[in-house]
Amino acid sequence: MAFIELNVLNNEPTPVVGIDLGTTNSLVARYVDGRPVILKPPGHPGSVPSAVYFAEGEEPRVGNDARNHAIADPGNAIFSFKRFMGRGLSEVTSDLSSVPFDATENEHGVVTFDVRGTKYTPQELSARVLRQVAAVAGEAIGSHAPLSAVITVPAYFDDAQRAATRDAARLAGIEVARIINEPTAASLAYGLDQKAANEGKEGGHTIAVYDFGGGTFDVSILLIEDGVFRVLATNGDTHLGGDDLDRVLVELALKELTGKDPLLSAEDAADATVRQAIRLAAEKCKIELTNNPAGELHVQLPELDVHWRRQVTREEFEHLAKDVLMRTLTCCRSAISDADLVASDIDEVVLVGGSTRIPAVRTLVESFFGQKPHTELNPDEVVALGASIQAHVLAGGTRDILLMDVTPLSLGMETMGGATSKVILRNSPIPCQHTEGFTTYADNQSGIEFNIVQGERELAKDCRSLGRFKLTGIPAMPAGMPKVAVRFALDANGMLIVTAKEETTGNVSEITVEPMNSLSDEDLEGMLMESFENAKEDFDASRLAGLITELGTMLQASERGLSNAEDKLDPETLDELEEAMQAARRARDVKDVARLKEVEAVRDAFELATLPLAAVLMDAVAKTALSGKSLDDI
Amino acid sequence: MVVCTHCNEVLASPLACDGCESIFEVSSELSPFEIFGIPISARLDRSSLRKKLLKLQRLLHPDFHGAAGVIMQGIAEHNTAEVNAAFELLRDEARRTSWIVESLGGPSESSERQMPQIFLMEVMEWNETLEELKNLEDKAVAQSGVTDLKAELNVQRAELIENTLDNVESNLKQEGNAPPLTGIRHELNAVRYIDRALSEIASIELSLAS
Repeated sequence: MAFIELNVLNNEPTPVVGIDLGTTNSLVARYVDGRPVILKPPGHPGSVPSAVYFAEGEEPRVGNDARNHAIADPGNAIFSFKRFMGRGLSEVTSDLSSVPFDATENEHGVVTFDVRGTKYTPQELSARVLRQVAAVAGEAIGSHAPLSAVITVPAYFDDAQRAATRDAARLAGIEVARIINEPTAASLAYGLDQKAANEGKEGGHTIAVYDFGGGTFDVSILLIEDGVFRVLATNGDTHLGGDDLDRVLVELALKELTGKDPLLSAEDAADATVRQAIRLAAEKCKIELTNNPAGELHVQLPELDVHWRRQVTREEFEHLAKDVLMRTLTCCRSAISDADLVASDIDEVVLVGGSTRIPAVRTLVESFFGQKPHTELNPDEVVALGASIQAHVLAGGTRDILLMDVTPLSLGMETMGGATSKVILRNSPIPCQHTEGFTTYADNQSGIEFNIVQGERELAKDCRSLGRFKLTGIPAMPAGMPKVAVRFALDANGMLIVTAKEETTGNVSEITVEPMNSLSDEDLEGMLMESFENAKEDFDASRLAGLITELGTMLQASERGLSNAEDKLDPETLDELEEAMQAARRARDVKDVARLKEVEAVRDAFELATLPLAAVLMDAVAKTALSGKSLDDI
Repeated sequence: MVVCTHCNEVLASPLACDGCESIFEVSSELSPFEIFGIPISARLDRSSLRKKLLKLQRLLHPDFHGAAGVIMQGIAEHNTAEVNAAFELLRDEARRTSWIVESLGGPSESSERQMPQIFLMEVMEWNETLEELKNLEDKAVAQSGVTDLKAELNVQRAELIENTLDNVESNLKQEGNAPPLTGIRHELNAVRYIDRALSEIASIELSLAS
């Protein structure tokens, strides 16, 4: 059918959305008509599995398609890369032991995955997922304008992990409106500010968010008062998640398969394909256990002639998982203590993350806080929903809500002797800043180097270095004369900004501060150029999908129209239309993105061919509408 | 009385105007009390301090200045950080009184470290108790010992704080018999010793619980 479109493309505002870039799945939400909604194009579940599959000689595939290849072709399907964001190789050895692919490190100390001869950073893989997420959003909104997004990260992510997330978004062509913490986002989604306002408790409403996801655990304690969500304390573990619960079942399976009368040799048990099959069997069993009193651990390795089944009861699973679950409580106790509260002070508890579906987790949380936690919202969707509310605030949509978050980790400087001098303490509200004075030790010294670390440990080497920063361009002066004021600021994203000025001469511009160990701007630019090329392909793919949907709609409308008005069209017009419909039916089967132009031409020709039919139908509609009415009535 | 350059409203804080919602770049260093637009005082009402924080952040927070230019966003971020830091100091009685002692010309934390012998003996005693409790096999006994010591220290802390608040107030009012600032610094130092022991207790409690 000929569609009359309003030309709004030119002054279309950039849609602002919330994106949950998860370890296992990623989701996008938008605030529409007074409430947050998950963006789901027709026939699409909305969520995009955070996985990328590199098939031989083909374009990489993202999402479901990639996840499905994880067993058949381990090593070429990369997933769980969120665990590697902003990390060096030495920090991820335990993560690597639980995935069937290998990693190396590039010259900047950034983890890279070597797939079919090409190296990919976790940032680039996340960017691919984000581009898919953006395409899903575009499809649902009906616009392919570039997105601006609030992107969530685990509250316990440090500066490097946040920076990696921001870089991933930049590579995906998404403007980062803000990076916010997942538990804080979740607290927004539950609309607890309304409840707090209604109850009007003196001193505010205290809530605990227990966020147990696929790969990370976070807990945040918030105080809601006058529509302001103020985080009092946060704690967590970026290496504690549902994957660890899978692992206890993997260990059980391995122990029994390789134990007495082994079905599996130690060598086979170390094989990536075998590992992956056992891991998936464990995950399946864990999910079964959520809904049933017992689950089956079923390992099938046809090539090795292994067909092994074993019942696992909830009781046994809970026993095996006890240590993992107890670690979440340790984080909860620390956060509550840092907030100067005790567990019984908490007014409300919110559960977030897929792992909170597990009955044992719910029971544990309930007994720890002494109350039933909130579970009304889908724990997989709540973070994206909350992020979209923050996106709405940032877009100027409301001033009723304000988020005030904290930094999860202390920021310090390495002093002489390798100790840490803390300049910003953990749980300090952000944005925050601290200015530290420096001077020179030698005459005419032009530069000063310092090491900024993040963490709670006493020795700088036990904390995570955010990089050695170098001040250059200090004017020539005798030793001890220059007064260089270095300002360390954590912005509203919880990310570090270092600026410096020389105070005796008031010279600001000539002093530069550079982190020495991170992705260089040139690297990022190179990746960005590459991503523009990929972005075009992604854009074309989503445009093709859109066209095919449109052709379907047009065909349906035309078929319906013809059945009513076939007799009113002259034979020649009818032939043209039927020919165009045939072409459209064929074009619907096109899969190759290279044929996009061709499909566009079919659509345009089809649209032209439907014009006479549209005119006839409009006429009929007008006649029906106007029949029996005099001119005065119109 | 400072008024807003845009709307002539009396400013509740030099950082922002309540009337027309303008925010200002302030080049000079402001005291935490100035930032909150309140007179210097040792005793502050927690609830009104919190309400003031929320009110200021509603005016200043970068979230509400997304559409403004880069410069205004920078000012918003800077001012928000200033308010956050001021609030962290003002809400903490010990840090607040310590700041006032210094502003009145009293000794700073680092310049006056001496403590009475008798107090130091007491500190050594807690530390010994803490060491013993840490090494106890019986968790229940350790927990009850920790709870007792914690209660004792909290009582002592509360008394010290009450005392310093009164003494600082009387210095602020320039009363004739106002106690010397050095003495107040000693009391504040004692609070720091107690706080260090309390944070040690908190970590022992965390390890006992898990």
